[in-house]
Amino acid sequence: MLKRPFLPALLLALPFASMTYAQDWSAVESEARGQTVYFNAWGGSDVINSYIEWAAERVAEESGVQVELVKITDAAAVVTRISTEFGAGNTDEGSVDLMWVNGENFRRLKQEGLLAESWAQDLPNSELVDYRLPVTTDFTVPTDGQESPWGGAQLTLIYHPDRLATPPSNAQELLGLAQDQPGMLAYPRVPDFHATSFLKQLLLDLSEEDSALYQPVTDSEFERVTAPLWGYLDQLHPLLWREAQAFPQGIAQMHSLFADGELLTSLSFNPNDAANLVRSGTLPEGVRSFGFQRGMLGNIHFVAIPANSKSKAGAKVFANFLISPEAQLRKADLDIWGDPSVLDPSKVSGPSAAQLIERDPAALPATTPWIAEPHASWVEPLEKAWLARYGAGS
Amino acid sequence: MSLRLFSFAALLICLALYLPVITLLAPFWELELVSSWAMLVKATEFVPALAGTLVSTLGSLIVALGLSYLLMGSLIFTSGYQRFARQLPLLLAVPHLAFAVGIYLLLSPKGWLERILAPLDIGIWVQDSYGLSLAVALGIKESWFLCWMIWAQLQQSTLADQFLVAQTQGYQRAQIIRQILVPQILPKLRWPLLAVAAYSLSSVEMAWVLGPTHPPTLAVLAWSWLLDPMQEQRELGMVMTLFLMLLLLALALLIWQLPILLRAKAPSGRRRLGRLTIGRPARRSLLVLHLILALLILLWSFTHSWFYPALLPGRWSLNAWQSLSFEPLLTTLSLGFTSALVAIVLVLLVLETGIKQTGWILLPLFLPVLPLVVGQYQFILALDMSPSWVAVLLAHLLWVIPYVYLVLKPAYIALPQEQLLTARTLGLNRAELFTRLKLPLLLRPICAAFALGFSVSLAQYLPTIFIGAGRVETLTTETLSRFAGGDKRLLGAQTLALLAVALIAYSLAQRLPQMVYANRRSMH
Amino acid sequence: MLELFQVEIETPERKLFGPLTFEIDRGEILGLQAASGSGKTALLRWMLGALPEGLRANGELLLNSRELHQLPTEARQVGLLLQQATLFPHLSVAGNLQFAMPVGAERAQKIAQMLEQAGLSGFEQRDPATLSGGQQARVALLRALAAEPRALLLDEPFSSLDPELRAEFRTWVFSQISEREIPALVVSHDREDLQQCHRVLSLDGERVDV
Repeated sequence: MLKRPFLPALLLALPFASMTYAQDWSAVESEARGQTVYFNAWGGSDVINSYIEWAAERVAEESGVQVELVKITDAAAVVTRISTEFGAGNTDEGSVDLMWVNGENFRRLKQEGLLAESWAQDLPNSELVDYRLPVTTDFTVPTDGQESPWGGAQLTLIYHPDRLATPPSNAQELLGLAQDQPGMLAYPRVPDFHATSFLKQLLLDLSEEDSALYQPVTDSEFERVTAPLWGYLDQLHPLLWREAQAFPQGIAQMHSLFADGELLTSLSFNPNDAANLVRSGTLPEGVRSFGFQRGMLGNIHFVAIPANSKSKAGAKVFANFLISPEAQLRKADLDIWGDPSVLDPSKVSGPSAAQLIERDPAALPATTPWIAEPHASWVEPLEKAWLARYGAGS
Repeated sequence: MSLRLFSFAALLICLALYLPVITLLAPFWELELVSSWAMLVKATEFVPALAGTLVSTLGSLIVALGLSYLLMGSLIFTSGYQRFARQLPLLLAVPHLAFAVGIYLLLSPKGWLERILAPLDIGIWVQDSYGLSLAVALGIKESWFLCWMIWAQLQQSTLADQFLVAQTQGYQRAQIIRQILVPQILPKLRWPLLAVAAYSLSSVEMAWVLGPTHPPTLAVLAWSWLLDPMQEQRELGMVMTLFLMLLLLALALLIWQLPILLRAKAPSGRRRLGRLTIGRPARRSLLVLHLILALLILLWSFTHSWFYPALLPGRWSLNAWQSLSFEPLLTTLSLGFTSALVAIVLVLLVLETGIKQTGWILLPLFLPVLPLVVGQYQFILALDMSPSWVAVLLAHLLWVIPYVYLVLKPAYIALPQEQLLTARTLGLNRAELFTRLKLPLLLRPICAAFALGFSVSLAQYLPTIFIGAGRVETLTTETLSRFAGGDKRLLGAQTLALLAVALIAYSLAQRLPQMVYANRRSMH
Repeated sequence: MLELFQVEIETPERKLFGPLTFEIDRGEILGLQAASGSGKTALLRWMLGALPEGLRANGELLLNSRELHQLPTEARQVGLLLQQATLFPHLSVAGNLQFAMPVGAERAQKIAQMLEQAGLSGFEQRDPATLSGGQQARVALLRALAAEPRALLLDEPFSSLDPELRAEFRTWVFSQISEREIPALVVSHDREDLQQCHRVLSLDGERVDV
C-alpha cells in the first residue's frame, strides 16, 4: 500500500503520464505480440462465449495476441487454483492470464496479493470509461487499478404479463405473491452467485439500505441487519417451488422452468437478458422485466490479471480491446450479447453512441434505480448463515 | 535393446503413473484430524448429504443387482440370450453422462414424461431430495456392466450343463437360478460390484445432473469444497474425500457378505412354479427407453423453441449444431486414441515381464475418483507441469490402464502354450515370438481393449477438468458445461456428439478384427 | 417305453441325421453308436427339450405313450448323466442328492441308504471337489436317479474314467437302471460300452453288431 502514490500526486502526474502513455503502451504492445493469453471466464452462456471468441479473433488480427478462452463454471475455483499455484511456488508461470471477476472473488485475490497491480488505469481506452459508474470500487473495495471494468449489470426479475398481471414492487409484495400462488417462485441455491445476489437484494429492500451494509461486517451488525431477512425467508421458503426442498441449479435452469410455466418469475444479472433470451428461443414471446420500486442491485464486472501470469502484456492488450468502442458496442448489441456498456456515450463519437444505451421493451426499464453492492465482506457470512439455516433441507 | 528391457521399463512407467494412489493416505498425516472431522460432522449439509449419498449408492447397487438378476435370469440359455449378449457391448458403450442427460430431458420438471402425463397431473422428477432418481439411473446404467460380467462367468464354466441337469430334475428357471447359479456367480461378482459402488459413490457428473441439489451428494459437496477459496473449507474437502474412502470400505465389507446374506435355503424338494419371464419385457422396455432418450437428445439439438406442454418442438433450428466447435472433438479423439494405445503397449509389456503379481494395476477401479484426482493434481503441481494435453493424458492413463489390463490379462494367459512352444522350436526369439505370434493372436482382445480404453478416456470428467485447468476441453467436459449453461438445445447437440463418437468408436473397434482376418475363420 | 418316430435334425447348412425311428422298452439299455460331430449331442438335447440355438428338428417323442416334445425340459421326467459329473460345486454331496429328490419325509435316511449302496457311506457332508473321479461319477448317477426319472439319457457317461474303474462303474450303473425298470439310452463311441448294451443302433437307425 505504501508504495502507491497519494491521490494528489497521482493527479499532478496525470498530464505527464498521458504524454509517456503512447510510448509505454507501444512497449506493452510489442511485448504482447505472439503471447498466448488464457482468459478464464464463466462459460455457461453460448452468447458470451461466441462474443469472446470474436474478440479473440479481432485482437489476434490487430495485435498478434493469441487469446484462449478457458470456460469455467465457478470463478471461486479459479481463485483457489491461483492461490494453490502460489502456494506451490509457481509465481511466474500461472495457468491463468486474465480472468473475469468481481466482488467477493476480487476481494480475496486482492487481499492475498495474487493480482498484478496498478495497470488498468494505464490502458489507453480507460479514458473512454464512464466514471459516473462505480468502476473504481468493486463491492465497495477500491479496485486500485488491479482490475479493468468490462460491463455493467443490474439484478433483473423476468415475468410474463399474461401470467402475472402486476409484478411485485418490493420484497413484501413478493411474499404476498408466493402466498397467493404457492410453489411458483424460486431462486437458485446459495452459494450460487445469483442466489447470493438475490439474498442481498432482499436484504437491501427489507433493511431499507441500512448504512451498516456498506461498512465491513461485524458480528453484532450482521445479526441486527439480517434478522428481518431470516424471518422473511422462514415465511417464504415453504411457499417456494418444491417447498424449497430443491432449488434450481442456476439461473439457466430457472429460465427453463420459467419458460415451461413451472415458475412465475426468473432472474438475471443482465438487464437485457429477457430480450436476448426471447431472440434465442429460450423464453417465449411477450416476456418482460421488472425491478423493485426502491431499485435493484447493480454492479460492474471486471477483468483482472493474476500476479503469476506469464503473458501480462498480452492480457493488458486484450483488456484494452475489451473496452474499445468497437468491442463495447458489439457487446451492447442485443443480437450479440446485450451486456450494458461501461463507456461514456459522450466520449464515443459517431451515431453509434446511442446504441450504447439502447434498451429493448423486454429489458429492465432504464429508470429502475441502481442500488450499490454492499461491502464485499458481507457475502461470506451471509452465505454461511444461509447454509447453516437452510442448507440441510428438512 | 531387448524386449525384456522394454518390458521392465513399462513396469516402471506404470508404477510412476500409479504414484498418486499413495497420496490417498495424505489426509491421515497432513491435517489436524480431530478438528477437521468435528467440523465435517457439524457441517449443516453433512447428514442430509450422507443420506442422499447412501440412498443413491446402495440404491444403485440394489437396482443394478436386481435388474441384472431379472434380465440374465430370464434370458440365459434361451433363444434371446445370444442376442442380448450381442446388444450388451453397445449398451455398455453409451457414456454415463449421455445417459444421464437423456434421463434429465425425459424426467426434469415439465420434461417430456410430464408433458405426456400432463392430463394425470403426475410429477416425476429428477434431482429429488432423496437421491432416488439418481439411484435408479445409476442402477440401470451399471446393470449392463453386471450382466456383462455374469455373461463372462457363464462363458467359462460348466454352469450351462448344471442348468440342464437341474432342469432334467424337474426344476424351473427361477428356482435353478436361485439355487444353482446365484450361489456360484455372486462370489465372483464381488469385485465388479465394488467397482460399481466406487463409481456410484464418487460420481460427480451423474450426481450433478440427476442427484439431489439441496444438499447435493457427498462427492459433489467434496468437489465444491475442494475448489473453495477458503483454506478451511478445502481442508474439509480433504477430510470428506477420506470419509468417502471409509464409506467405500464399509460398502466393500457389505458386498463381501452378500453371498452369505443372500444365501438360499436348501430346497425342500418342492418344484415351484415361477418361470421368471419378466426379463424379456424388461429388456425390451429398457431398449425402448434408450431409444427414447436418444430421440429426445436428437430433437432438442434441432430445436429453436420448445415450451410446455408441446410434445414436439415448436420451431426448429440448426443453431445448436452450428455453435459446436471442432476442438473438443479433436481433443477427445486424440486423447482417447493415444491413451488407449499407450495403455495397451504398457500392459502388454508388463505382462511380458512374466511377473505374476500385477493385480495392483486394477486398484484405481475400486477407489473413489475424487481423492485420486486430488493426488494427481498435487503431483502435477510438484512437477511444475502446466495444465496441458500431456498432463491430462497422463491423468487419464490411471483409469485407462486398469480397464485395458482387465481385457488383456485373461487373453494373454489363454494364449495357446503349445503353439508358442512350437514357434520357439522353429527358432523364434522372445521378441519375434511377441511381435509375430502373440500380437496377431491377441488382435481381437487388443481391439476390445482399445474400444474400452477409448471409451474410458472419453468418459473422464474430473481428471480432465482438474488437471487440464479447463484448458483441455473434451466432449465430456463440454457436455457438462452445456448442462450448467442450461440451454437444452446446445446440451442436446453436444450430448449427441458425445454419444455418436462413443458408439462409432466402439463399433469400429469391433469390426477391425473381422476386416483384418476376413479369410481366417477361426479368428472370428 | 420311450419311442422316437421319424426324428431328423438339421443345421441351417445341412441335415445331421434322420429320419430316425426306434423304441426302448422299460428296463432296456439301448446303445447309440455315433462319432463326434454326428449330431448325437443334438439328439439328446432335443429329447430333453433343450435343442441349441440354430438347429431345427422334426419328429415325435413319446414316453409311456405321452407326447413329450411340447413339454418343457423340467416337465419331461427324463434324467441325464453327462461325461463330466457336473455336480453342483457349492453344495455338499448330500445337498446335491437332496436337490434332486422330490419333496417328502425321511430324506436324510434315503440319502444315507443311497450312498451306502454306492459304497459312499459317510460321504454326506463332503465337498464334491474333494471326491475322486469315480466317486463323483457315482454321486452324479445317484443324483440323476434321485429325481425318480421315467427314462435316463447317458451322454458318454464313462469316457472320463480310467479303464479299471470304467468297467466297474458301468456294471453298477446298468444294474441300477435295470433295477428301476426304466428305458435308458447310452450314447457312446466306445466299443466296450456298447457291447454291454442290450441293443445297439447307429444314427441311421441301422442295427449294429458290436
